[in-house]
Amino acid sequence: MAKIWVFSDMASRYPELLAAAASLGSEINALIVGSDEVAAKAFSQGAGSVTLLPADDSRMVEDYVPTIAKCVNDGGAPAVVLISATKRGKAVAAKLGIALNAGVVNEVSTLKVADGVIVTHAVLGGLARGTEQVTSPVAVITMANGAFEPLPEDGSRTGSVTKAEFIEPAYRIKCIERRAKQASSVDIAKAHRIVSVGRGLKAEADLAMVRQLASALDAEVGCSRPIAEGENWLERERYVGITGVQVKADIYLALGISGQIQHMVGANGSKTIFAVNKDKNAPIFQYADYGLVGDIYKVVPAMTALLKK
Amino acid sequence: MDFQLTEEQELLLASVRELISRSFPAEYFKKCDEDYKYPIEFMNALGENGISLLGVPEDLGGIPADLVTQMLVIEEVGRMGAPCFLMMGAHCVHNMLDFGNKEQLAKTVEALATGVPPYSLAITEPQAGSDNNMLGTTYTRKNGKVYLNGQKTFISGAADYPYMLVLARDPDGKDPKKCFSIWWVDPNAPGIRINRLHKIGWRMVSNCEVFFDNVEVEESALVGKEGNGFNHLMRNFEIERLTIAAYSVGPAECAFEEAARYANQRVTFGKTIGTYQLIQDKLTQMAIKIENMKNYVYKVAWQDDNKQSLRLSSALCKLYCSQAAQEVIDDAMQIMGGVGYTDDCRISRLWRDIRVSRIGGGTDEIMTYIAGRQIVKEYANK
Amino acid sequence: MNIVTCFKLVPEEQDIVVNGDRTLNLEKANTKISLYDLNAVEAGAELAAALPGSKVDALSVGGKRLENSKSRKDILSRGPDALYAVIDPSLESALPHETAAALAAAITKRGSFDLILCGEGSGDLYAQQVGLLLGSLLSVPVINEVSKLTAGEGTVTVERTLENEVEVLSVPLPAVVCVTSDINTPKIPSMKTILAAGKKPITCWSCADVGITPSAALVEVQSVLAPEQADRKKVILEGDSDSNVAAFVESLRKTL
Repeated sequence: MAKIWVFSDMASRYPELLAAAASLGSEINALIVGSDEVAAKAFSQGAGSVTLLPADDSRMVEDYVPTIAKCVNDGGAPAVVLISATKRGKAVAAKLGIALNAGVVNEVSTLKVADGVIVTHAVLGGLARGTEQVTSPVAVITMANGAFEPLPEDGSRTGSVTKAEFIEPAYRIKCIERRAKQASSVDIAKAHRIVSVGRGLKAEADLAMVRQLASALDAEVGCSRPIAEGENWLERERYVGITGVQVKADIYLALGISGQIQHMVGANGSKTIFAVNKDKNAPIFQYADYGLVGDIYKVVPAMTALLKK
Repeated sequence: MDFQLTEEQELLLASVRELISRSFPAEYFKKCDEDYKYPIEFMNALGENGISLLGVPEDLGGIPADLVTQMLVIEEVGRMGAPCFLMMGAHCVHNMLDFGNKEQLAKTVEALATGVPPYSLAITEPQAGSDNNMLGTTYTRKNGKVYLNGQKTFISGAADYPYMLVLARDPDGKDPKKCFSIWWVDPNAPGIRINRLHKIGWRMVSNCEVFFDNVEVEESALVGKEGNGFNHLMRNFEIERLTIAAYSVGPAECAFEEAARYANQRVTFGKTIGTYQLIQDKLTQMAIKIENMKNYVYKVAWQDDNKQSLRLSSALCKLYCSQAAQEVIDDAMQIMGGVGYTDDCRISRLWRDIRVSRIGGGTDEIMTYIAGRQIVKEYANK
Repeated sequence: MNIVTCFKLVPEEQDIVVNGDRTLNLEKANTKISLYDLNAVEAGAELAAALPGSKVDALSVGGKRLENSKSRKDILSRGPDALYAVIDPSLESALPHETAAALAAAITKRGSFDLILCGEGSGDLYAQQVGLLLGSLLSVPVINEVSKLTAGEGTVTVERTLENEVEVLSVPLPAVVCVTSDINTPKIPSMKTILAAGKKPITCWSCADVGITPSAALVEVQSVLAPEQADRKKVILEGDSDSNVAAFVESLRKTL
């Protein structure tokens, strides 16, 4: 029976990691940096035991790799380490891969155990899904955001808490400064309704009409890659696509988005897709349930007006 | 015979495509055309990438490339819907290497580094187009300076380029074949008045009447040999014909590709129009003409690279390509139907722009005259 | 600075054909440099330009694709002074840890370095690991998600853009840095660099040359399949007339 370890640099990701762990096995240990509070919550969310890693503001998350590796090694094989596919998460995962001589797969959206861990993830810019089997005794997997629904909380659960001793890594990178980003509280992966905008939008000021429509629909605003990374009109966190967020909304409304595969991979998990584009040959209409060939500058305000009635 | 492009040529063309698709969408050229604006940003980008320095010798800061490669690049720019008819680099460099002095060559290279052609060619006059001998603009000497008087017209780029090459006659010249000389002139010089003409096409570059009222130039402004202006220009005309032929190929391909795509999309009577034979007939003939144009341009460029004479071939090539391109673009518009006639569709601009190819750089009639005479002469004693 | 930029040659995904059984046919796919690696190559070129006397070598490991002369000229037209390649049938479909091991061996054989630059992931597998694994294998500091890079004295200062914050880090050299696509816009190769590319030196090695022996596989690929096309209704209204917009909104209302 494989031992499952769970780790994240973001406390908010533990619930879904624990849910993923529960689908693999029953011996679930959450590795948590500091915070008795997060440890307590971890039990209610599915952890069987917790290992507390000593917190220290001077440390980078990656500095914990030797400590985590020792915990996993001591726990014995076979083992699966589930980490959130955050940017730090992926760094930790790769380093653990070397430390534990373990196979590493990133940004996984499905996983199961059958003679080793079998996982799927997107390849070729979203054109296909690769299914891989990790055959090494220890597997290190990073989970895509929103791939698993958290389990219902059970406040009565408790378990043992062990304190791990920090092992100094061979190399320390010095952190000179931390700059908070204008905290984007949006987690579009969890949004139920999304109004998404693409290159059909000509100017940043025109986002106003998109926001109005989103508001009328009680939806989050998302976008395709050029709007976030190219034009910088919206935060990176709102960009839906293969290297952005993969969403599973109930309603996804694509405005002025051509529908290239790299974007659709992010949007296709949505239940119903609506699209407005002035080019009737835009690929998006192959992916839409309902489409309108027209000018978003006319359609969007008209839609907002109708919805507000 | 190896028809394969070299790897370097393929990579060069990939860069051209990337440059245009990344930074110069169709809307940019549409706007420049609408506003009668010289696309300076685009020309500068060509300069920055080194495209306008192809063919300039390395020791002058250029990038050695044969004429075939230069024509390929012009073609690709045109195929991407950009105004390749503004790319005069090949032409100017060829001229200056042929008959310019060191300083003139240096100024040429300096301008080309920014992507903008160094000079406009002021030859044509209201009464002297095809018939160069009717040229009336004169140059006279007085107190160690030279003075130009007269009028030119239809001069492309006169209001956009830093310099101007002016063909003028010595009014006291005895030998009518040896009285023309070329002068390097600053268009901002006192006495010069430039008047833009309104045209139906080629709106992204100026075409002007240029008036010379006692314009003073130095002796050193002479380009080439005095009295030899005509012969210098003969060589210029040969290369110009080739580049005009090259200007025609790309836009024809651009129009053809748009029409072929459209034939797969437009539905009439329940079927895409591409299934109808009259459309297929047009597309087939267009494809043949494009293939012919390409091969002709490459071959004539190859002849120059191999030091063969272009006198006959450049005339034939220009004559064929101008006419064929006009037919291809016209057929493309027919296939596009009403949409093709609107400003939204770039075929309408290509259609307006191509028409001048049969007129400028030597009319169809003059090309026929040159070629016809020579062919007959060649077979006189065979 | 002595810089190595790693890159991978991948199939052009636009040329890939999906078969009826959802498997992929890559036969007609042309070869291209993985897009994210272009950012790494550009970062190397920019650093070298800012530090006179620097050297940038491009490095790749793989199979037959690396024998493509045009691809070699392509990478050499983007800033590197020379190209190193490990070409071996065993690396034809290398998985991340195999790729990292081959890169590490090649770098060791090549000699000392100050900085190794990698992209965030390859255009085909997008495993997002190789650079990180490489740093660990070479026992040097390695960092990912770098969106800004400046040279210092025996260090590079990087900005690492994370979900909630930006870390500004001082990384001691030698090191491996994995850059994101935010870091720069790769320059379009100029006419000059393209024509000069064919003259730059290329060194090719086999796995045996760099001393790699095949090790136990850690991961096995079971399948690569195009996703099942979700059945979409595809009810498309043509034209933004008032009645069409109203009908569209009605469909939207019904799903709310």
